[in-house]
Amino acid sequence: MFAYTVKRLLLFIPLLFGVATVTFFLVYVLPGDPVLSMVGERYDEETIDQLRREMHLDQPVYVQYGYFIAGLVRLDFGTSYVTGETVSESVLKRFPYTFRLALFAMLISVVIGVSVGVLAAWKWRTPFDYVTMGTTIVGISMPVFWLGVLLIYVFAMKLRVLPASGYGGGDLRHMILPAVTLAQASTAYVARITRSSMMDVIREHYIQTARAKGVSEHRMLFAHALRNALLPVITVVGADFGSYLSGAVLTESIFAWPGLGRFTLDAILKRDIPTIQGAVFFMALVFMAINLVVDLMYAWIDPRIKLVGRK
Amino acid sequence: MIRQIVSQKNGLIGLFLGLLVLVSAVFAPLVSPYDPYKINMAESLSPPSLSHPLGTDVFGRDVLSRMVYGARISMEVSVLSRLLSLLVGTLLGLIAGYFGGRLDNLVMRCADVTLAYPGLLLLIAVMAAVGPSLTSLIVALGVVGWAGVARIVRAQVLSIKEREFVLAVRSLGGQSGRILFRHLLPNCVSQLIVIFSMGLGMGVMAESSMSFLGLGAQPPLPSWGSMISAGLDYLRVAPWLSLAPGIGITLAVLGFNLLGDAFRDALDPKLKHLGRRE
Repeated sequence: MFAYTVKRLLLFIPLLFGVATVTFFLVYVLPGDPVLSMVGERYDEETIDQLRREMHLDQPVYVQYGYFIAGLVRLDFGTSYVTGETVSESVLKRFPYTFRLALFAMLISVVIGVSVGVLAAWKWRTPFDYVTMGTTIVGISMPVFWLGVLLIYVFAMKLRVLPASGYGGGDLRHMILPAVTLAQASTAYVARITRSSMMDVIREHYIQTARAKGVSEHRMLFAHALRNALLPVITVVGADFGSYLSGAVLTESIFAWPGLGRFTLDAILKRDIPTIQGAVFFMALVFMAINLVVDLMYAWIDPRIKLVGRK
Repeated sequence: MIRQIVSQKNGLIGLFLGLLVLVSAVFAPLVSPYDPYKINMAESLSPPSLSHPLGTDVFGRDVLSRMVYGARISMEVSVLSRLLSLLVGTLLGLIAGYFGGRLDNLVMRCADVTLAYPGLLLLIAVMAAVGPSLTSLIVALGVVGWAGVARIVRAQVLSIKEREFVLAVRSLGGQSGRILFRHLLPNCVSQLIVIFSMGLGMGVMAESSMSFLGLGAQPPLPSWGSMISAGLDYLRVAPWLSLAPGIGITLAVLGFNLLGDAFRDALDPKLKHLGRRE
């Protein structure tokens, strides 16, 4: 396990470097002059030259790249052109909001998804199974942003029971609609994976043995089958959590949620280069880190993984 | 194979929905009741009725006609971008798998980096860099999607390149190019069909998401995503503006998902966990 962990960690470093490089050059080719968009209408040549020098924009691209990488190592992404705040500060300020939303969404998707999946496997080929599996495939096909609009229309505009948008100073009611929206696809997917995984496990010999011993159906499902069926579910949940944490751009935009996703989109629309670089890199970093943790957890739970090695 | 797809209920539904979208896209001028760009302020924001089954938008344009044309944009972006992903991904996957060694390492590490970005983030960043337009969306989606294809093709190549028929060609002095394209590529075709059909739904979803964010199709083009976001301002008085296009997206994506599943079950059940992400 230790060797495997070290190996995975070592592979993480070049990947990080690659992501940093791609992020830098993507943003580098952004159209428009950042200094001009920063100073706006009122400017004189001297200020512009000075700003250019301060931001190293007068240097060739490889020098700028060097500054960018050197900054990353010190976790310094520079200062926003728009707000004048340091990028790392503003990213860290937004992250807790995204984290809360992601955690709540994950809770919904695991609790509902796993219970529906287990029941559907147990009630295999009954109306319950057909209806839930039909619903989940529609759920996977439904665009997140449209579900958000639909929920706002029904619950905020027609029924007037929940607020349509904003953070609401931490009021839980503000989190319900965005969290449900965010959780939708994942819940549907978790339910499907749980069901198919349960069905595989239920056919195993040790389940038949348990049944033959006279273990109750309930205990068979939850104590024997579910534990083993959860393995593939963990991968899905982990990957989804990683992508939610890295900022749900669509959901956060619709509900005006003050998290990382909306923050990054704003920065992109404003051409705020250091902020885009920092935020995009940070989000990719979080996503990769969560995936790494999931892989390690998976190997720890299921020792067969390590032996197979890299695909 | 077709019989196998039609024999499953889900496959049949998928085929029906997929064809519905395709037919609307191809025959949009014939199918749509009105001109999707025709402004008619007298009928601004009229609710669904017999003459306008899905109502009209703020400029009095017929929503149903715009949705039919929206199918055209979605399909165009989705099909072309998937073809581009397939082209780039297959080529690099074949090369990586066949030649192995450093080349393989380089290609696959690039794939890792591409896949290290969560969901739409890389796409959003690329679109911001090249500027929003349909052409750049097609290219961006196509380029971002290469990595998944390359991984699958490479895995397939690795599993067949030591098989007897390949060794036989090689021992007879077959050139690498010939082996790659005449012998290895045909053995990846069923995987490619599955990847393509499953990717169509993702393509539709990605196009509408980007257009919703304002980074895809630009007005007055009738994209489903931009129709939803344009309707947001009138959600209280004219909810059909935003709700109708969403049903279009859902049905299209559902159709291609079901169709992709059916293709997969018929051609290559091993690819079970494909079609996630985004």
